[in-house]
Amino acid sequence: MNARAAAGTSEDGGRAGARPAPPVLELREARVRRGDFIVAAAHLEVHAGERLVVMGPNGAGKSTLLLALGGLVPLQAGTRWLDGRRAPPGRALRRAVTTALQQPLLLDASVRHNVELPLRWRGLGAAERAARAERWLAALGVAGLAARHAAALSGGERQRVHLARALATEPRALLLDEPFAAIDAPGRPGLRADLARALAASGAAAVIVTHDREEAIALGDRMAVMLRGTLRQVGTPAEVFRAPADLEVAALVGVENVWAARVVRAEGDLVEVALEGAAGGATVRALAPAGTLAPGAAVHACLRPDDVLLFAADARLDAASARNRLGVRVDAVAPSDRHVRVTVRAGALGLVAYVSRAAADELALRAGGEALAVFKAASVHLVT
Amino acid sequence: MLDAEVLRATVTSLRVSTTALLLALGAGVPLGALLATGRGRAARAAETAAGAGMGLPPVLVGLVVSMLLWRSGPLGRLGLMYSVTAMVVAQAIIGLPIVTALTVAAVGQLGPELPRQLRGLGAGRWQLRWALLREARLPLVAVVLAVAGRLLGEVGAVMMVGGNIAGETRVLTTALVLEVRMGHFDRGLELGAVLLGLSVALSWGLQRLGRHGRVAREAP
Repeated sequence: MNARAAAGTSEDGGRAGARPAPPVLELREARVRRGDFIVAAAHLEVHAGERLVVMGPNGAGKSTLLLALGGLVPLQAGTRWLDGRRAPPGRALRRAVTTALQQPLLLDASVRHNVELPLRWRGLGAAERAARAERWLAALGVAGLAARHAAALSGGERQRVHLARALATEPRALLLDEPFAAIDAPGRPGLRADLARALAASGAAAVIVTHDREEAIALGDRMAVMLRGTLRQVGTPAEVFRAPADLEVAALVGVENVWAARVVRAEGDLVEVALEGAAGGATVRALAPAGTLAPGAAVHACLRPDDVLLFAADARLDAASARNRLGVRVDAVAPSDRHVRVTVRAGALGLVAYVSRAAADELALRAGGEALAVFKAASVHLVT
Repeated sequence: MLDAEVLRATVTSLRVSTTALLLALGAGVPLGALLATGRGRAARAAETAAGAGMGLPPVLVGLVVSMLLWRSGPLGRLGLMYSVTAMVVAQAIIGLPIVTALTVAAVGQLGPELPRQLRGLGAGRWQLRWALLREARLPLVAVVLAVAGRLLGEVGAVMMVGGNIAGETRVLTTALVLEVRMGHFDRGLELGAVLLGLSVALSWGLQRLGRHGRVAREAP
């Protein structure tokens, strides 16, 4: 279900024209200081049932932002809101908003004790505690470990118990700091799927911190990009990955092709830019909202490597007007586990493309060979 | 075989030191947990004071307690001078800073992330402290051992405030000092052996507790 739609179905039964439910958790003009480092969030909100991914490199302030949301560090400025009202201080907030830190820290006790203890703190009876522990341990696939001592768990099991313990509190909002950091790469997809199902079942608003693009795309209904302590962009993963707000965000979300360019023509939403360094004043076409760019404007053209198609140099293609074609020479071919990274060159202009292993074999790509690079105008994002 | 006098001194030693230990633990463990989770300057100052208090000279404690309980002192009306109660009070004062400082260290070695995680799960202040103390239970067993050993072997303060009255306030250590003064080294050795035996028994019992904890943790 769409997260925003879910948020709108409040007590009024979702009548047409009814006011949408307020965000479950919200930060307004927030500033947090940790030593010399300041983290600022002008506005961040998450709705019931929504999964907001906070993405950024190590040291960007993501975890600090999460702690600020969860009431685990004081705000130097700004306000925290819970269900449309000023968030209560201290324990009342932390009972409504559960935070699971990056390290799966379990107490020196059984799994069941670990999961039930926060419920005991909330005054829940034994039967309710046992039922919740069973439900959420099962949701994370570790129901059989309830009697096991925490010290006897593997890393993956610890992480699953850690998440089950947080989910068992059935909070209004759940804040998860790098929930897959302690998991081996082969175990991540399974846990990601289980967590996604568990979050959907809980209905809680979730904020998930990650530095992994794949996790951000897989889990996020929306994503917030954090760089050097500030929120740079908030949007759906598709928006952020397709149209990063600036060059740093572009680099973070994997845009490897960034060229300095100048607008030479703008007709409607179709913009033609001349790439600096390209042989023979090569131009590419891009899409941009009509009227936003005038000829002569300096821009950066951004293109994701997975949006570039490589063809044989003599391939005959349909003449689609919005497609860009560049005759290129292959510089390097580097296979990885998922794709083949091909570095090509058009004059002084470098370009990176990801192609499948099968395509690389079929094209017999090798350093020094020639190819045709093709990409849609819609794939080229212009950053001013 | 232990004669009646040694047996009485042993019982009095155990009574005084155990009561003082329980008082020191009762006050020092919660205080230590409070300081370990406190963030203000007052908490840091108290932690420093507790650390300094670990080396508090027993005779100084004896002097201060004597001055308070002396007939003309502020608490003289209570008539506690040269009593078991006075000895308990003196030993509890000696034990309190040690328990407090070692509890701060035991909880502190859990690191800053565990308290944060527990707060993130909704723990209230004392729920958090109790959970941390439970988590630090093995190092706390070492605290009990260290303080119990210190109190059982303490002589200066109990001598000053207890007076070493035979059959009343004479404990193993004060009896030992008396016997040596009189040149009865064989009696001194006998008392020393009892003290050593108590210390070994205490250590063995606490080690068993620790081992039990480890075995329980490793069980599948």
